[in-house]
Amino acid sequence: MATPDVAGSLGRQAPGPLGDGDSDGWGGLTVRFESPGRLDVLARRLGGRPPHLEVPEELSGWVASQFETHLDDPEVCLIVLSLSAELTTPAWRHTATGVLWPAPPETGSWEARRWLEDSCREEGPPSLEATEAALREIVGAAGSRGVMVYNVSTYDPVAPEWVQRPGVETISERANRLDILLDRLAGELDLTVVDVDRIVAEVGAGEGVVGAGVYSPPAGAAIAQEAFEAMRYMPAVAARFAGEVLRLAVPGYDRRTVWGEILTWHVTAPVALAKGQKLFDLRFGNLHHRLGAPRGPGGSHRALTVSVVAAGDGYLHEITAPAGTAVEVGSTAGVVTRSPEVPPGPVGAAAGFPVGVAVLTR
Amino acid sequence: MSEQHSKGGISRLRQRAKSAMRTRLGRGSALEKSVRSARNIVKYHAGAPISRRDFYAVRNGGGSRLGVFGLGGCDLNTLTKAGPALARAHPGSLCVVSTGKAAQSHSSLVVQTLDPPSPDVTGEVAERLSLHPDYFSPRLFEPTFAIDHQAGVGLYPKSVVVLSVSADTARTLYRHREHGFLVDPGGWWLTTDLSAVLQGQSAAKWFTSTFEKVGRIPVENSMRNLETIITAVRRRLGSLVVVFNVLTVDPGVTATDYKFANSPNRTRRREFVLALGDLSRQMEFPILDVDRLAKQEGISGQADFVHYTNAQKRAIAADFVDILAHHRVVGGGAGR
Repeated sequence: MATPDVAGSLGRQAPGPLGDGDSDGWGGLTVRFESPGRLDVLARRLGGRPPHLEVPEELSGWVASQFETHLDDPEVCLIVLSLSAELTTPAWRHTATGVLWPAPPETGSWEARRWLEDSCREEGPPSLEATEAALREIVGAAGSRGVMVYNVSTYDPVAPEWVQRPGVETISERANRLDILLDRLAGELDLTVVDVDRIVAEVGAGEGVVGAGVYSPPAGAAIAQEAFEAMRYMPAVAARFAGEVLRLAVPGYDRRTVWGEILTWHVTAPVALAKGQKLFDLRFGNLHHRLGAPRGPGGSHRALTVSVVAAGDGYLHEITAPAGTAVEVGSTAGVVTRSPEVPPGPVGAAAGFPVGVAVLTR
Repeated sequence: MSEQHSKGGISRLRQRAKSAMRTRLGRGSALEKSVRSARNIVKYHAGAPISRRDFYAVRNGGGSRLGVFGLGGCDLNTLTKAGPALARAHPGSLCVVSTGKAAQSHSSLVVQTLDPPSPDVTGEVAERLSLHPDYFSPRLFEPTFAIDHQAGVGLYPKSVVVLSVSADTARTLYRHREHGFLVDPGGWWLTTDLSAVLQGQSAAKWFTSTFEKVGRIPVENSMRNLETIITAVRRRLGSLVVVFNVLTVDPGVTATDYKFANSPNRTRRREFVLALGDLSRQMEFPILDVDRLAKQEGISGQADFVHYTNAQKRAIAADFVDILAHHRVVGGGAGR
């Protein structure tokens, strides 16, 4: 999706294996952008062009392009969407057919202008219900392909009133509602969420947010870093680019968790792994340790313990870091293959076996 | 001897005395606190400000007394950073206090103090859980306040009352099975070792047999409590009420696969921010938007969502001064 946030991050060269066509079985990533920003406009394209839609000659090319989409392209293994255009972007609806499209091009023809005025009406940003319905429709059409969604920064460069005005929803409130919607749907629809709200806040939203859903180049770079990293572990991407042998890497919890200790394994190799299965428990250092500070704020004595959970199916051949081992985040804890028949091999630059983390204590 | 040399000598002498005291009695001893309190009060009466983590006070005999009373958790410690700017904007004496801790500022506990349980039934609980003597007292609704651990500053009016929703977003309460009152035993024990608070297994058994867990408060109940609190503060004290919202994102977290992240805290905090905005519209109180200010300054140096960096504290303090100037509690302010 060619919204400014997605284009500003994925328009960069992908780092590591995703961007290197010669690297250990990874084929390099090609990114295609599709222009409509709003999800309901994109979803509407899936329905194809309605019959009997007649348009002036001058607009026929533009209208035809509104029904072209990469969503059904078999070469596409990952669809990246964004909520940024849901914030403020208007759309135009053809009243007779219900077709939605983005703002039409400037036209000099009287006939075309007249047709737009008579046949279409401008609509404000979509309701949350419309966004949810569109997201469900797109995910349904995506089938086995991965879907990654960027949430949106709640930071509004224009400071709101201290006392909120009745009947007026602020940009920040709308962004919060959209982000809550995405969090709610992420589990159910198997979405990978890029938490743009947090990433931009880490960069500093005062400089990172240029406008509603539009971010500075440094913020775009930070978003790209997390998005590309998350892609490497998405089964749909790994299935296309990675080999048959996967590396079970030690996941981090946050930027401060750089090493930990494997407390216990819940599985014994060799064994078939199923999505959702607990693999091992991992304890990170306490907060002082994670911040690298000799003394810090309250809660310092608390260690962070997580369960590492399989986020895809596979076959664990070997555990290389048994319980009691101190491990660096990103190091190898085991060797996984896609099926039992595949012999294990070197995992140095292999793709990661997809995992998630569930917090046990903190 | 120059004045500068003389001051340096006194400072060195003071450091030596402090080191000797700490060597013999340990850090933060009763003697150290008394000495510090005495030194502070001399400064205060000489017109110099006392600036501590949880209070800021400066005496100026020429004008009215302005008191800012904050009840909340660690997030409200940012209030004292506003002290110097408020002192410049206010011609009289000023006292800014951030009192209580997260475990005492939950809205259900504050509402409970409006109709407190009898000391006859809370006495044993207060003793066994080492609760603050004012735990069940309607301290927020009293018209004046003093600084707990700093004698000599006197009483200040609650010209401004500052509240926060951070405790409601995170804390878990327990209800007395027989008498129905609520407690939050505090500390970090809710997520760590009970023995740190309860000193032994028999105490743990006593707690679990005496209390039942009521969990975290639903957002709508929290807002109802806040409405009750703000109404009572306005009616009894006539104070300006300012409420801090809360940072919605978790600093440092890079988890992108929320299917397994079993941590809906982020969503919950967003819901609180939205509900607080709605209540602000209804009751017309100003929100100090710490979510916006913390994000604006950058969250990467934060330990967690309620402990702010110095840059964030400065931004929050500046916005607080502007709110008070906007409401004509003090003069000046940068304005918006």
